[in-house]
Amino acid sequence: MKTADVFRFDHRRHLAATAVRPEHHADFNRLVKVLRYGSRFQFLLAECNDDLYRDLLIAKLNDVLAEEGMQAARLNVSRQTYSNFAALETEMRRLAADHQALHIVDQHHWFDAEQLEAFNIRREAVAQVVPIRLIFWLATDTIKLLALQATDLWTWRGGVFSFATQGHMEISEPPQFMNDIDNRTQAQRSKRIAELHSYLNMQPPLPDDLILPLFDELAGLLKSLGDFDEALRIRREDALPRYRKMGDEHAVATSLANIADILTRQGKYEEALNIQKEELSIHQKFNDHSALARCLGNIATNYSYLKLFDFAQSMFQKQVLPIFQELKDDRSIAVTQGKIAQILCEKGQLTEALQVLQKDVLPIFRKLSDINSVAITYGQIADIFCAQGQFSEAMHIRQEQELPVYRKLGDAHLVAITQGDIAAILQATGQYAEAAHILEDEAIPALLKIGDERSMAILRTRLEEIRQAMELPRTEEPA
Amino acid sequence: MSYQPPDNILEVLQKIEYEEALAADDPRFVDTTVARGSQKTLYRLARKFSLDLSDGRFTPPLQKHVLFFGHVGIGKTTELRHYAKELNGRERFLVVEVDIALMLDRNNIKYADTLMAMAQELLKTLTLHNISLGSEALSELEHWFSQRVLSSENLRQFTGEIKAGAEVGGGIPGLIKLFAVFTSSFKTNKTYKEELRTVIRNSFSEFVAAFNYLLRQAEESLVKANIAKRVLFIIDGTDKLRGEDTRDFFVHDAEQLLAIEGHVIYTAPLNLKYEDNLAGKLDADLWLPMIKLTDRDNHIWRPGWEAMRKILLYRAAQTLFASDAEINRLIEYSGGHPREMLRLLKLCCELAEDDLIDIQTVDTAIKLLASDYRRFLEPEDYKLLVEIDQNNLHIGNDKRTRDLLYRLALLEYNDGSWRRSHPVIRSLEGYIAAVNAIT
Repeated sequence: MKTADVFRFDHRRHLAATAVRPEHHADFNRLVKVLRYGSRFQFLLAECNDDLYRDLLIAKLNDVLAEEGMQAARLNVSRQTYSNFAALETEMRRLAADHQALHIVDQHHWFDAEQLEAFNIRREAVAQVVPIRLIFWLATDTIKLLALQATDLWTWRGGVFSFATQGHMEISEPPQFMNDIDNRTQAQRSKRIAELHSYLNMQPPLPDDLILPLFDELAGLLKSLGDFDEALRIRREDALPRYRKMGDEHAVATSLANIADILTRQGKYEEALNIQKEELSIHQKFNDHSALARCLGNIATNYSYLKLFDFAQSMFQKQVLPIFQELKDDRSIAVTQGKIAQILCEKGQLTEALQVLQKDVLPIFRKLSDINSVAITYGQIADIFCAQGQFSEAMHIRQEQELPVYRKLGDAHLVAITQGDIAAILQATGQYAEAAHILEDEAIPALLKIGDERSMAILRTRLEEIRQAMELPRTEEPA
Repeated sequence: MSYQPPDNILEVLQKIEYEEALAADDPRFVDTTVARGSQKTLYRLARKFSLDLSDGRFTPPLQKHVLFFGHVGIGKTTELRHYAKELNGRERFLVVEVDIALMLDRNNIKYADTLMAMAQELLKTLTLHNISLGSEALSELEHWFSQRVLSSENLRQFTGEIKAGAEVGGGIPGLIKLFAVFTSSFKTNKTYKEELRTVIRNSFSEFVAAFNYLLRQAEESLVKANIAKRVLFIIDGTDKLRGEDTRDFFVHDAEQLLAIEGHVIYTAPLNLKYEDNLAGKLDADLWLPMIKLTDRDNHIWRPGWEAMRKILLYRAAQTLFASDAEINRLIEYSGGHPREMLRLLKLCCELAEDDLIDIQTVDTAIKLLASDYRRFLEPEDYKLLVEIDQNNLHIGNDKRTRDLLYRLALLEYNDGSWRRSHPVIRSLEGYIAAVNAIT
């Protein structure tokens, strides 16, 4: 194997992995590697409970495989498509002739005990007549059924790759978290993790003041790679007790904030709140206003995730805002007002939300000459107009206030997202052909190039709805 | 040039095949006799066929059917191929290996199919040794074919197809071709499979008599040719039958198997050993032990570690491991099960970012393998595993225990007298919770 080829391959797969959820990077990378370098026939299990996300994963895998000169096909397996395993096997056999990999996508639990048993019976024959890489996309409970009901087939597995998510991927926006900027590749980060482990295991052990920065760095790296559990464990069990022992309360507060941040990302809002309350008491003790306001803001955010909107709004307005106003921290004031507007939207108080954005947020960002934040705020305003049915106003903002700014800033991603929003307005106003044109020719190809599979899937769903509304035959989409 | 293990992670990944049994002359073979504590296994196996390996005395009985138990994937086939080297010989056996996975549809197999495959492989082996049988030796089988099979009304179309195809001819080559057509049909031809089985079932006594006659004639010829005294069949792949088929094959249809007046070894899954209704029918007290890493009292068993290390380093060059710590951890967490160790090695290859397997990679691989077990283990399973681990006792063979053995969550060592949970399972939260609940 030539080093250059391997390097290119590694680069491609790591690049592709950036489009999937951080917690799935490792399994995605493993899967791509085993598909590329493993033996010709493989029986692989991919666990995924979310149709949309699964499609994204398959698209990404196929991209990497195609670049490696491997062709992959897909079979959607449902009661409508295959009456029994023999019928599926016939189709697999046909596709094996000119493909190197095959995704078998279980839809609506077609693989029940009966079909798994049928597959179990035919597994040797399948290996002979379908001698390619087979990736079975199954739900968690189906994999369990396989392990229990078709144990021989389970023993035969080449690997299980987990892309399980809690619940279905929301089309509406879930809480978004900005990751800390880390320009290192995943490989570099993994290597650094190994180094850190070797330092941490030194004998005799390093003193606390030397070991603590290592724990903090390790936890940060693990978080960036999506290993929240281990990052949390290190912060809780390795770092926090040492900081407490050293009596460094500022460090304890920072450590608590980091723990709460991970818990929030994991959706454990109540647990995060408990941690944040301890953090808060430290900031109060030291009278650190800025840290206090940030901590209160994070607490209010968690209350809003728990849908305690009134309480969250009250905290932002009565506790957080006054501190930032006292500190004359304009940017933080605008950000806090933006969060209040978001809560008002959640509560259905669109007019009030609009007012906050127009009067309290926009002017500050304008004053700060932060044109990016100005455009984003305009986007929020346009969202409200859409919700109110004021499509011409919304369209005006999208075309005049958002798009030109993102174009000027060279932000292709936000340009594509805004084009998707414009298509939504066109769709809502019955201008299907134009909407389809924007999605097909501009937004989706741009997202494909960027690699934002999630947004692309949302837009593809929208395009599908538009096509159905137009009752036009499906045309070829960008793969 | 001597064998060199792959020294590139991707090459290691490419070459790992769990299902592959090693040929007798494969350079990757490792003698695991001491490691398993199975010094007496071959000796005992031979003794069951009345062959005393210590002095070479051989007093073969008319027939003997022996089950050879063991966890799936611990190397039964590989070991049997090496045993075959010892058992083959002028004053001993001519070993005939019948790989039912290769010849038949092992997921839907009946005694009739197996008997056909045995006849086919016997004739092929005789041909390889240039043994020619007189026409009389084959006459009963040919007669059975012509009277019962080729003239069967229900198989008229099928036999018509045979006649329309290649000319099968007479003698041993003709019979080999005929058997090959039939075993192939058992494997692939759904239409006639059941009809063929019905014909054999309805005329089984005639068929088995013809087969036994052929076997006796063949053994006489082997003695005359100074090749061997008896024929020994090794039926491989019967340890991987489906649950129901396993019971049908070894329990319900055992009488049919016992009708074969020959010497036969069948590979069998370990869980079958603890089925009550198996008792008494077939010789069922021999198994291939796991490679043990400790003894029952948890003292390190050095030969086990050394054998596992050799197995590992034949699959991946030592330079691929950051240090001995990684090698040792892979061995430790395999529990002495070669296939599980290869599974861990494969996971390491998938995870490693450079051409080096470091301790973090190994730990991640262990976590991943453990998560495979987490998928199906229930709280009661963990509880049972903890009890077994802590009490150091063999506490029965109920269904839950048998299922855990079958799925490799529970591993059995030595003469089956002690068991341990798979080491990767002990890191699971379910197991830890069960430990806490008990202590």
